[in-house]
Amino acid sequence: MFPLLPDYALSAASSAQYALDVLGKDKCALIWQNDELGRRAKFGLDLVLSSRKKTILTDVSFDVATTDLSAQIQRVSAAGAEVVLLFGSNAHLASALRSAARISWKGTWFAPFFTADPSTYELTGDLLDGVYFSSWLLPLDADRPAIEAYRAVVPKYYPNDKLGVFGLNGWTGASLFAVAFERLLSSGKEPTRENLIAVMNTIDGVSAGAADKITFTAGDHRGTRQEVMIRAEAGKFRLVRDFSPYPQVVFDAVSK
Amino acid sequence: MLPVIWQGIVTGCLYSLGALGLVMIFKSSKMVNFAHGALAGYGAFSVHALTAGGAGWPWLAAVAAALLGAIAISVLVYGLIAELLQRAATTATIATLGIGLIAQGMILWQYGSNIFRLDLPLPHLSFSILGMALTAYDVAVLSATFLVVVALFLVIERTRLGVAFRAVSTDPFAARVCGLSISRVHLFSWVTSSMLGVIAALLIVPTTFLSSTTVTTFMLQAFAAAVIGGFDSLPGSAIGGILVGVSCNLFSFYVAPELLNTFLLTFMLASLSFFPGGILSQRLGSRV
Repeated sequence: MFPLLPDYALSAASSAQYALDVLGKDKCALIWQNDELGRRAKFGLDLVLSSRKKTILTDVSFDVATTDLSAQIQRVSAAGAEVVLLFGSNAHLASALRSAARISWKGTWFAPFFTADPSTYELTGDLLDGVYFSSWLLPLDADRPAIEAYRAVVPKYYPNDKLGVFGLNGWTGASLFAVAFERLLSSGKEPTRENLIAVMNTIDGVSAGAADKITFTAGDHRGTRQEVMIRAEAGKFRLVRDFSPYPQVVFDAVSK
Repeated sequence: MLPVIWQGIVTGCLYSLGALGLVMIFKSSKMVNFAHGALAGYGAFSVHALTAGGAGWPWLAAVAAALLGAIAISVLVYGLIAELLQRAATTATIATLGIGLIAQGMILWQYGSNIFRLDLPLPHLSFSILGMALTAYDVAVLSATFLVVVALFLVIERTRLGVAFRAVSTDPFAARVCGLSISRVHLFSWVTSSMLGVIAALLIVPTTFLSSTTVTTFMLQAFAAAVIGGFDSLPGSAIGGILVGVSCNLFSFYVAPELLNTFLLTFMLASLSFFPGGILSQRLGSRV
């Protein structure tokens, strides 16, 4: 298997690193969905903060069926958090932002890459402005030719489908396959499963779709190694930091 | 602690509105309407479709249309289960489970499984009192709950239909002997319940957003409020809603939000043990 979707531990760690190093905020709280998504985020956040001799200020979980996150927001607000990482769906993010607005809590929010999607803006309105997303994909609005192609192709062939991060995710996976298949064909070798796997294992620092510096080797299939930082601003998703490597301590831990 | 209690009161008002709809039907016919949440959700979806969903109606006109639609559906549903209700309330109760599933299927068929935003047309106001942040939404929820409770009280206490409702609730046999139309009273309770459901749903979705399941899920807490307040008591269910809202918020804040459902079930069990008929129930003697 040649996965591109990174472990959420890495995204959480990247978010915390950005909060600490760029925003200069170290009172980090975590609101996490009590399944694999949230558990991995908690693992990554714990690890990156402990490597910096810090701890999570408070963490509070919620069930996937939860529709009201008021209690969780009250908890992080009372704890004095400056930064909140929320690892759940875009509906959970919207509910949390709404609850925070109701008690006038103002802090810095980080959310997973898949919530940097126009559908989130439809739920939150301008409450999403200012939220950061550590993402292995460039924003949907980016001017990279591969993303422009995605934006052009979907309305043409799938007029009923909306442009979104999940679509861009699939587009990126398919783009990587196209890169590998072209390499295989140009090598003159037979297009067999074994030969395709061999080519995939030589992918090194490749840009495909909306992702960058994808690398696979025979013993290491952590394809995605870097993330960008996106910020929601006035209905758009703006790139505020280019691709940057994951915190090493978490990247190493994830492979174990 | 005050902000936590305050938020609990606001949420509790929503539970109360949901519980009042359930209790209206139970009082008149001794059956539980498990379709209440799904039908109320359908009403909220109608408002969304008529406003933000594309039709572009003014909000009040859309709400009026949704209320009329809810009334029509409640008449239809009652028409479907009236015969079952004559046989046994339990049979009719089970039938409402099916009706709820049909309503949920209709929502999925018409609107899909997406999540939608449906706000109240309120200004972005926020002010602080005693360290508690109050928003226009909070004030709207409290005002709507107050108005609904007062209106319900006036209808039940001051109108002939309300007197008939009380008579049927107290003793259906005696009410029938006196010449009251039981079906008419049942219909009144179904229509009132459906309107309460739509109002509750419209107040709920600004915090939970609108999906095929959100209102139904929320009504489970309203069900708990009705159990704790007493399925036979309208004031009890209103108070039960606020009790559930405040206690759930306190539990989530001080103990663990992920154990909220466990807490709610324990709360219901404890309440039923100490107050089997609800917190406002009177211990009545029985004839032997």
